[in-house]
Amino acid sequence: MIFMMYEGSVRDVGKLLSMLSSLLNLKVVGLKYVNKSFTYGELGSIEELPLSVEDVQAPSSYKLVEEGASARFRHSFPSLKYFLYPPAQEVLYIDKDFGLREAKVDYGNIALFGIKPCDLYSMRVLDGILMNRDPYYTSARSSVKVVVVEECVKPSNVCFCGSVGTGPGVSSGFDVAFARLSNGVVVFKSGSSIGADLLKRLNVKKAGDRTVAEYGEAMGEALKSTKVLPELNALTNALEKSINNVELWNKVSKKCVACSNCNMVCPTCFCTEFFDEAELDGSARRLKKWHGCLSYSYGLVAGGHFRPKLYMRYRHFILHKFLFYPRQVGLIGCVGCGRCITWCPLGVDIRETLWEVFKSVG
Amino acid sequence: MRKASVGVFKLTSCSGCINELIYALVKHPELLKLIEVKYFTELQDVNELTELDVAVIEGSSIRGEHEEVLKKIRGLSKVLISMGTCATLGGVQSLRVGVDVNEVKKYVYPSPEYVDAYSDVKAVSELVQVDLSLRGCPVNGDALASIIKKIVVGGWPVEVYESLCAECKRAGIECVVVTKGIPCLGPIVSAGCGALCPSFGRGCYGCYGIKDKDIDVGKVFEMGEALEKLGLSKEDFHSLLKGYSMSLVKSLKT
Repeated sequence: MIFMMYEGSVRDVGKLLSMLSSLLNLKVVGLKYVNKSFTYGELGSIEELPLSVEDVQAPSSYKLVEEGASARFRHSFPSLKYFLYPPAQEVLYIDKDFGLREAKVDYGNIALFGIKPCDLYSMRVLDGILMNRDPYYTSARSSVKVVVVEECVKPSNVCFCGSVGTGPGVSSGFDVAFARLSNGVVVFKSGSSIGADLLKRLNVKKAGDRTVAEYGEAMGEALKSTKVLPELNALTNALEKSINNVELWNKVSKKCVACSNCNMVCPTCFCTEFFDEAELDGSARRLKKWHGCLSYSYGLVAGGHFRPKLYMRYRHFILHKFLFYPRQVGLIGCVGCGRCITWCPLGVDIRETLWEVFKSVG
Repeated sequence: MRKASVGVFKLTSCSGCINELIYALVKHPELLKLIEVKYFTELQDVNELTELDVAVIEGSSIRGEHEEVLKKIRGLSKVLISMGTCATLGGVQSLRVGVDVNEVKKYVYPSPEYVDAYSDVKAVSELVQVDLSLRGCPVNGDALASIIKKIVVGGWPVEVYESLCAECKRAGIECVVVTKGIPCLGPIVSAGCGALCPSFGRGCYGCYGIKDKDIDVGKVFEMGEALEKLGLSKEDFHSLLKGYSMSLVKSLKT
């Protein structure tokens, strides 16, 4: 798909943000960077976006450096699911007379602003799993009316979105996308009629040939830097063949201590456990909390355990992303954001695992 | 509703968990209407060692007499709960395990011959069957209150074996290892405290003990290597394991 491109400045990004609330009456939500910490929440202004810090990421290491206008932020550990599918939710309240009250999520009408292509893709994956099945996700997700994506012109050291086809640019599922080029020029494109209308009102000019060329070159470079995995079909074939190779899975999970950080930071991990809190007056509440498949109790069932050994749980995490999600929702479950690499305290690197698997089948 | 009879017993420990239990009862006074305290020397003067619905044990066994008492309590109780890291895993007094107890006593007591203790430190589960164990140094008072409520209204808690990291991430706390390079035992330590230390920017030192279902010697070694790179010496790591996870260290599989 060929997009009409426009060019402007960071000021236009700020204007776009305020237009969403003033013109469309939407609550603008994004990853806020306030008091040196990240949370998803309502953005008061563009100042609250991490536009002048850069994340330096490596296995088991995350540093933020202040770099001013040249900084290109990618992500921190909170992915979009912290907002759309929170870590702990009350799902049911039962009063002492057995009256039921279902918990409801009411976010109003919102615009997601400045999310990255990997996170946009993770929303498609979560839609496939949870939409119209999980009432809380469904209602949170339905409140999203507009999506503004920032394309990644400078992916991080752990990013591999290009290998799984989820980034660093976007071609669908958004209303407006913008990319901040290194010379300060911001390229805008629209992906919907709402987006086209917004850009028209923003009054940004049609991108000149030079800007279009620079954008193309930057995105080409970005794609190249994130193509670090074996070709996807060959990789999934190798994963299929590797399933019974216990030695291999023990080897690649040697450093893993099953802490489930990867589950928690993965934008597409959606599993939960239910807890009941009984009160003495006869009322009770049911809570739902994220629960990772790397944790021992995840596979624990009456009479036994699905995956008692640690390598089985690590293997399941990998296979689910690359083999099972495609069967569940027709999409790859790994968005290539690399959060599981950075936030693994033991430095387990999914890219190394996948290469090991690929090489094991020759 | 018949009141549940409860006994609270103390072996070798600091009473910190018993304090948490008392705070929990003060915070939820309605619980006192549902339980009948039969034995609780820290709370009342007249105590009776009798049949119990629930026995709560604080502390670990450090002499033969403790073992006898424990066996007697087990025989009298329907449900036996080990409360806190000492009762569940041995506790900080386990630091002396591996050293002749007579040597150790000399450093503390002017007349060590009066102190009756063996060289080992035993968790409650090493001696009698435990129905429910609660870790923590001290235990989490809210968890205690929730469990007492469940037992008196009829129910059982959902057991979750997961690392502290899961709680940290759910709470949205930035990882101290990854962002600051602070040594933290969280990845191999059992959840339950609500990620208290990391929420103040500190590393976990493992007072809830290491996980007991999926950690073997190899994994402890991997964690030790990672911690050493962050500046925690092997000696210090071993002390933390001994002090808070002793009964698990004894049974670590290779």
